[in-house]
Amino acid sequence: MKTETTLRINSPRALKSRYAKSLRSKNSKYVFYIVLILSVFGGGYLAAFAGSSLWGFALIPGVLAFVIYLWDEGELKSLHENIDNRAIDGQLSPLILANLKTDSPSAYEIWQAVADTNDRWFFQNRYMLHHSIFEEFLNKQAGSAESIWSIAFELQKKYQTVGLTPSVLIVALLKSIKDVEKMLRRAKLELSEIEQGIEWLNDIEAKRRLAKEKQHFGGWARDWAYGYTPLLRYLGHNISEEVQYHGFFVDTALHSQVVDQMIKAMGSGTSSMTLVGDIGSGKTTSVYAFAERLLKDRSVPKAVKHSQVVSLDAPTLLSQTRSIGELEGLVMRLLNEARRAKNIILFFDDAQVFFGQGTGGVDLSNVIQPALEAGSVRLIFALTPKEWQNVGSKNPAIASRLQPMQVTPAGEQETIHVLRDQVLFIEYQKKVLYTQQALKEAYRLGSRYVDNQVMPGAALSVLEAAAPVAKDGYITAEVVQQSIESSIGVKIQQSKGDESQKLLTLEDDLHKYVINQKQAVSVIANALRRSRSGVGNPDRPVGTFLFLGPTGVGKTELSKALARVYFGSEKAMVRVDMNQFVDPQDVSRLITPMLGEQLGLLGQVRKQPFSVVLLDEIEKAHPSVINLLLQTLDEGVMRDVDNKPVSFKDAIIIATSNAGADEIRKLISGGEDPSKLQTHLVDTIIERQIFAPEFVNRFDEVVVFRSLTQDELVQVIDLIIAGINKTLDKQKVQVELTAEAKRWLVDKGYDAKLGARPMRRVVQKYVENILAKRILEQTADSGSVIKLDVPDFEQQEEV
Amino acid sequence: MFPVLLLSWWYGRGWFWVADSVNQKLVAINEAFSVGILLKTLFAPWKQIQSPTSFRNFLQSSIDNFISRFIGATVRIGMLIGALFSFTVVIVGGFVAIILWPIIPLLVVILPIISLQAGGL
Repeated sequence: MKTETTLRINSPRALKSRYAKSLRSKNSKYVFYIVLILSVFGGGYLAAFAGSSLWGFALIPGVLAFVIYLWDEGELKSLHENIDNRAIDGQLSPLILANLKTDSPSAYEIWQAVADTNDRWFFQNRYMLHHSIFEEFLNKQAGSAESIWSIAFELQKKYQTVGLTPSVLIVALLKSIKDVEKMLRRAKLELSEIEQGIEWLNDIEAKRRLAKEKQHFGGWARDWAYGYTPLLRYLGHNISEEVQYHGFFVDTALHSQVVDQMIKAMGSGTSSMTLVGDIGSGKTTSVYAFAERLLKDRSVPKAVKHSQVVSLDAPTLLSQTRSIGELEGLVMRLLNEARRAKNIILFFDDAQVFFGQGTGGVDLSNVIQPALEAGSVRLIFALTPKEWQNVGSKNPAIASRLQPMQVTPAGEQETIHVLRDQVLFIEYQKKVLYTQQALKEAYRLGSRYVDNQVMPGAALSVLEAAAPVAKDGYITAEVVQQSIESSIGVKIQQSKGDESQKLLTLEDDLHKYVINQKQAVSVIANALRRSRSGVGNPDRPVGTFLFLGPTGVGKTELSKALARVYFGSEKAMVRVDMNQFVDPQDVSRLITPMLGEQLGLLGQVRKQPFSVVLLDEIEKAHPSVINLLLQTLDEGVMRDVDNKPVSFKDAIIIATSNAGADEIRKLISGGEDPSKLQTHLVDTIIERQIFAPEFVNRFDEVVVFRSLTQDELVQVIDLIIAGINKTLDKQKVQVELTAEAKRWLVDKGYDAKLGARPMRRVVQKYVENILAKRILEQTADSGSVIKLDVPDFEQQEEV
Repeated sequence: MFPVLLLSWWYGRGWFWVADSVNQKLVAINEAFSVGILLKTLFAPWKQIQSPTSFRNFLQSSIDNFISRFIGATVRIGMLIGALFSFTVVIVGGFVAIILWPIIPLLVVILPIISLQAGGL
């Protein structure tokens, strides 16, 4: 049927829309009731007591009110469902149709017609779409709506809406604005996302209708043919009853495949199954969806129709018993009750606990196995893949009786769909409102930082955690970022203000702690600037560097300085001595998050993802360890012993090595420019097979640290003295060295092979020892400056 | 246009709306009273209360199970009678509503005439 592109605002449907709008006004309902009551009582009074023959006239308003009420109920209220495909006014939502005043409205007049609808507030709140976009940029010329109608019809077809709804028209209006995409990009939005708002509103409308609709769950006599379950009622949680009495409004499309499989399997005689999926993948939700289908879906097999799903949890059962024997007895009674009742499906959430795994686990295999073998009671277990593997290896007899069903993590679009449903409940509880951008950001940050859950659970956790930090009740992408920043300690929001300034002057700050080594300082500062300005690749570590050079030239010191200056404290440095990983079996130690009471590398990075990871003396690590690091350097991820990923994407990875130190010294003493050494040195360490080329090439930069000259060592002495003075601050005593004294210390401690390393020892021996004595002898008063010269050191040497 | 639109619905789709409302009520009664389930399980034991049957206690268990089924059938028949009564009320009420439907708007004219006639005017 061809659609007319004309709008008739005096068509019967348009008139009915206007009448419906008047009848929907605030007090119209009360007017109806008052008129009806007055009319009936008035007529009755006239007829019975006043003896008047005018009672019939008194009843006229009542009859009219009654007739109009029925018309409203029967036709006007469902006008939006009555679509006439032939004309615009036949398709337009009655809300808009009632508001239009002319047959050829301007784009702006259409906006005015939709501006007081709920859909407009939806777009304004969920997408932060300010009304000024429409007010300022829409065409105000009469008849300028032609193009809008055609865009609206396309959207209606695409999103299968019932007629031209306000949401369809709002998006159509937006699409008609010139350069709208540029404007939206400023709000970090895309037109396609806004279009999805139509879908979101459709879902909300469907849920609203579902909540209002009378649901059929089998009626009063449904369970009369099934047994009593007093113990299960006391100790279990009846999911089916929860669904029946409180509703279940989660988008089940994500798990429809699993639910179909569950129904098919149980309907065809499989008595028990295991849902295998990571935490957050939606195993419990799948069971709820399964319970709902058994109650509502008329097409489910007879064997499972109207069955009740009852969940049992370990803590409740444990609290009722004092010994494992008592617990086994209790579970046996519960299984028997379920078997006798004939309509019970038992669900064991976190089922690993019942197989003796995890905290508080009790092994009930002795009770569960016979029940599974007899097949007389239907059981569903929920396990993670690893737990399922453990059950398989420890109790193969049990595993063989359970049909595994995989619950896979959701993708981005599926997660967003689930979030749209779930946020409605969080919003109701916490009195907040989530924007579309917040949902997208929750997905992005959830997949990156929540490593104990998969999607959609991970994103949902992020959104829940963000609720307490809402700004004016709104949870935007920035609020979600802030929430993650404060809980994990990473920096997600683009740098601004003080932080930007700090980044711009990072080299100067680092040079306060590291003498010379300009190239190393510069590459690190650049990597951080790239990352924090959003230019760097977010799917790799912030920076990966291989520092080559002799001992005592500042490789480790630079890493510490970076942790101190930018990451806030030296505690932000995760240091791993690679000389402890020299055997192939050390790989497992490297990927174990907890080493006894202490955190291992992965434990520390998981706790503190925004950090400097220092892999000291990397050349000493076993090749298997090096191979493990390849993926981390490339993708910023290392998997722990449980195969769970740990993200290094917010870390700077620095590997240090003395490899080629002799070569560096030789070349520099031969007058070679240190900045040109890198290529030569890389070739040398690859030739000597110290590192494989694929390992060296994984680093963003290979930085050569050259040996320090004696002049530079004097500066090192200055840094060490500055450190001592900082410590002495509390006692209000300071120390100063003459230039000769510094030079004397350098001469004393100089070792071409050890660089600046002996300097600290020399300062300790000469400066700190003298200071300690003077403070104890009380020759250094509070506020005094102790000046030390060469004779002081010589005297100390004699001692 | 108001009366024209109202009356055209009243004597057109309005009539079907009443019939549909009656039908929906019948469906709701059918669901609420679980008529299908009651008929399918009319002689099933009440709440699965059964004695296990063996050769030694055959007579006793047969009597117990008969009693359970008897109680079940009695309660279900009682429920079916309730459903039948509800169906009857809705069907009769619906039938009356459908018959009276066209007269309701005319009451605006009919009632004053009746009242005047009754008053002897």
